[in-house]
Amino acid sequence: MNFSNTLPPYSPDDLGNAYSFSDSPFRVYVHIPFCKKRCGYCNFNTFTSFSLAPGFDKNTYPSLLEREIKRVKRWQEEHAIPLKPASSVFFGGGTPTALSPSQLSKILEAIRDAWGIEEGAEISTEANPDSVEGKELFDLKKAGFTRVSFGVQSWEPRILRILDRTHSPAAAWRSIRKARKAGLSCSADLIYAAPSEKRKEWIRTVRLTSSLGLDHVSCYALSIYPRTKMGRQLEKGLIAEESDGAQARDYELADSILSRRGYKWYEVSNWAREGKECLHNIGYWKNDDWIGLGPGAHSHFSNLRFWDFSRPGPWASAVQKGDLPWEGEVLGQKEREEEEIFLGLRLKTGLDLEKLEKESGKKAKSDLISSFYGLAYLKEGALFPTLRGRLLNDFLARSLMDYFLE
Amino acid sequence: MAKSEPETFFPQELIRNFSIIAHIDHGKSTLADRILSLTGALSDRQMREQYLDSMDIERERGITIKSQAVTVNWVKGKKTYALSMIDTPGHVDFNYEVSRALAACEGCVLLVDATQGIEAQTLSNLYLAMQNDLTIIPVLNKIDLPGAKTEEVRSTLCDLLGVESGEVLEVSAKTGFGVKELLDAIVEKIPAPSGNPEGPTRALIFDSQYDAYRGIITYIRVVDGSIEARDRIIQMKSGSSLVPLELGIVDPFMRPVEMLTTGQVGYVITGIKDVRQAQVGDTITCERNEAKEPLKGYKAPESMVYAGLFPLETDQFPLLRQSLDKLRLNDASISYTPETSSALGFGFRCGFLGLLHMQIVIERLEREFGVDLISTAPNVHYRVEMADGSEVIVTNPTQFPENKVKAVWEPVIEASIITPKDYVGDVMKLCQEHRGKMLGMEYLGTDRVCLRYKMPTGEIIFGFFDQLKSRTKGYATLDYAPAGEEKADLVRVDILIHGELSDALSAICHKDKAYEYGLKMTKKLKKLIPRQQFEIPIQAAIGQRIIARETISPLRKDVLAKCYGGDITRKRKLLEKQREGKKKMKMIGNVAIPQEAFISALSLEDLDDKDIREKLKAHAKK
Repeated sequence: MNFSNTLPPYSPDDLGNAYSFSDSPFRVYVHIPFCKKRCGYCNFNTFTSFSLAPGFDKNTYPSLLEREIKRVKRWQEEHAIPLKPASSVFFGGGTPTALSPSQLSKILEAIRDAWGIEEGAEISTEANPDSVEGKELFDLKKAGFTRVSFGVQSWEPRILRILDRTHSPAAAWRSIRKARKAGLSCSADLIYAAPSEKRKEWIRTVRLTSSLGLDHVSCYALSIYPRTKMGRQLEKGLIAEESDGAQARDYELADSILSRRGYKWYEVSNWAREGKECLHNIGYWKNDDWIGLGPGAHSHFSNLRFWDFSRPGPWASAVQKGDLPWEGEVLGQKEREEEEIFLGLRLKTGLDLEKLEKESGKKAKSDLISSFYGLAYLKEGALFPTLRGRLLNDFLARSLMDYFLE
Repeated sequence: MAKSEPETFFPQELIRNFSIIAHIDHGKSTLADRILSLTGALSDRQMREQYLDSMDIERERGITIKSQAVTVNWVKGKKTYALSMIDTPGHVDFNYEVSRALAACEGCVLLVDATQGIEAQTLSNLYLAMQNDLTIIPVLNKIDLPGAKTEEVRSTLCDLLGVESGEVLEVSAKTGFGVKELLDAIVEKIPAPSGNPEGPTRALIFDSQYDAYRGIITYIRVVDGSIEARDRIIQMKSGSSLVPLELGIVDPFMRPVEMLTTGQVGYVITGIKDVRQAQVGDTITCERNEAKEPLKGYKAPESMVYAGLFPLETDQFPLLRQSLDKLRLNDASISYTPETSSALGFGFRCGFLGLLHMQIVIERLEREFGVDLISTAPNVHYRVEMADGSEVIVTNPTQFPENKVKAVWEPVIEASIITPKDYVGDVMKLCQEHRGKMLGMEYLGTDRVCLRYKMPTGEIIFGFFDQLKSRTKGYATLDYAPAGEEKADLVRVDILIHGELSDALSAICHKDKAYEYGLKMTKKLKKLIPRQQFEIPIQAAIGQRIIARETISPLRKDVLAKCYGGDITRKRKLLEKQREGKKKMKMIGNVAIPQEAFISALSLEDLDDKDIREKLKAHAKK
């Protein structure tokens, strides 16, 4: 199609017409925009009221998603975009477990009906440690879920209070134990560099996490965004952000503790036991295709990226009318190469430099690699970040873009 | 418009050419405006406030930079006279232009603010006028203001000029009081031009301007003979010969005339575009009545201050060159030679008459020509005697030789500072801090003192005037004139960023001030340079010896923690934006430095904190 007289963001039809074929795996992300309470640092698209717009509440949400699923499938058919069974499904939020296991299972069934789900596919959900009961975890397992990721954040009551989290360490501990009993593969998310967190508090949190028999751990530096509760506290000088030095120190501590306990890093913020990496998330970094469902969810099909309206009102009314609740962008060669660079560099599997050289028509000279001394090394045509390179990953990405894409 | 066509032809005896000499804010432009309206040269509707200050910068700063020449008609008795008013700048940087304007006059109006009294600047211009044998008409302005000390200022003027108190006129340029009498006095007292109307044609170029539509406009004063519109004219120094496109007078609009006769002031447009062909100070003659001997020209202006000017965008270098060429046409006092800096790229090393002149040139380049500039710290020029007897003239710190130097000579000035007597102690202290040597001190009236000092020029160009003003609550005034050179103990301080010399930041300092410069510059840079992936030492050095050091600690984390499906588009845009930002930075070795950091580091703004004061104290003890 001719884009010369239209400007991004593009409509769903423009996007469909611009699609270029790819044979990547297909994945499904479902966004659940409900939370009991918003945490102090949260800037996600989530809401504490359970009725978000006319005809849009906890009870009607599964059927709204079902309508969206059907409409997406029709869009694929209209634009000859291949239909494939899902290789993984991921429920995120928000708090997915704000919905009951039967509601979640209803959504899962709608996905299965539309696209099918591969045999043995990874099906994950995020969960708040105090929002799931033992029975619910068994029900989730029965509904087909294979993996649950708990927002543990910290084992220190003082830090949980600073982060404005509702759960107690004991509740988190109980939830993880029950989930393991139910046969679910478990992951914990941790947050480091919370304001005033001491080194020993962070060490205790990582050590305890690594002793619970979890399959997977994610560690994120706390980012404080302007229009959040903590953002306002920061503005008023009630809290202070930790320096990049302190953040780097915490990251290095986590990496050393986790790797001694058998967890290997496979992405900048993710560590897992052998074979327990989150395949769904790896799909994001390997540029697989995926559909995002629900307000604010992002999707990617080959050269297209698009996103659902994030405000519940417009999203629900579009879905109710049978419209696609999106807008998006079409990636050119340059954008695709940029993404390849900064996504590939985040991974243990490294950046395929030979492929990049072929695409850009430029050879990586030895002075380029030597300028990364200590940050990355070259092996068999791929570039791998070192521990320091993981911490300065964005710098590496910008340097490579400057080199290859000018 | 009720204005009749004015006469354009005048016999010599009906012509009067004069300037107004005044200190800044003493009301010169207001008086000029008043004269324009009173003589009917401008109707009320055309009257713009301060018509003669036509450049934006002049209006905003309230000062006159370029001299212009306006001719008005004035009737006295039964005769109509042509009065040509040649405007002069009032700041010390522009003495050179004042002398140029005065050379085209027979008399001048010495305008003194009755609330302020005589200032250092007024004195020096008055002496210039006396050297040129001009008739001087002393005038007190602002006599209607409540703070006017009319009698006191009048008696100082009488002492100074040796005139009777009745000869000092009183005006209020604002209300127009006394302006008629002043115009009559100009006719009566200032002699008619004395040139020979029958002699070979000679006209002095006393100014020229570049006009985007008409090319070069040359302002002339006919000294002998006459020029007709059809005459082929010859510029004696450059040797070029052309037929003018237009001959005219400014009244204050450009009005073409058939002829300019002896004593008249007017303009010539020749259509030449090359700025070098219309040199101020050159003599114009004509083929019909060719002169053999040119008039005595002007002494070329001497640059006092030098600085490197570099375009922010490298592709603006040709534009900068063109703009300087055009500026030089009506500001012959700018000099420039190409220069390359490892930090700032291609630019020019420019010479200026003073710091204000430099600021004005930079502003004009930016506003009138649209060049975005970065300038290095200004410096004076030095003469370095080498051990082998050779000599190096240094206008750029990077040229300063490191070894085998026998002696360094720096330019000095003689400064006159007029201050209320209560501040004499403060002024003396300030002068000593700036390596001044006192030459003398005298009282002007009962409560004002004129101090004379010899000082290194380099000491006076960096903020001295501001310090003087702040220590005397704004009362002191300053004037200075070059007074040769003296031997001095000077060194070059270099700034190294991550081991790389940043040539734009080198400075030549007195030995005793080198440490202070190094300390402050390294501290400034530490604040200004963003942290990078590696540690960045910032050092100040004299030759191989490091005299101050700061370290910028390395950035340890530069990665977004989360990069999932919904973050990818945003992250791509963020990285693109960061790369764009970096492209605008200058590279010193591996270190990316934002333009703003250079601009701030090079600004004259002083850095002062507790740490600096303590370190300087400890250094002084050593």
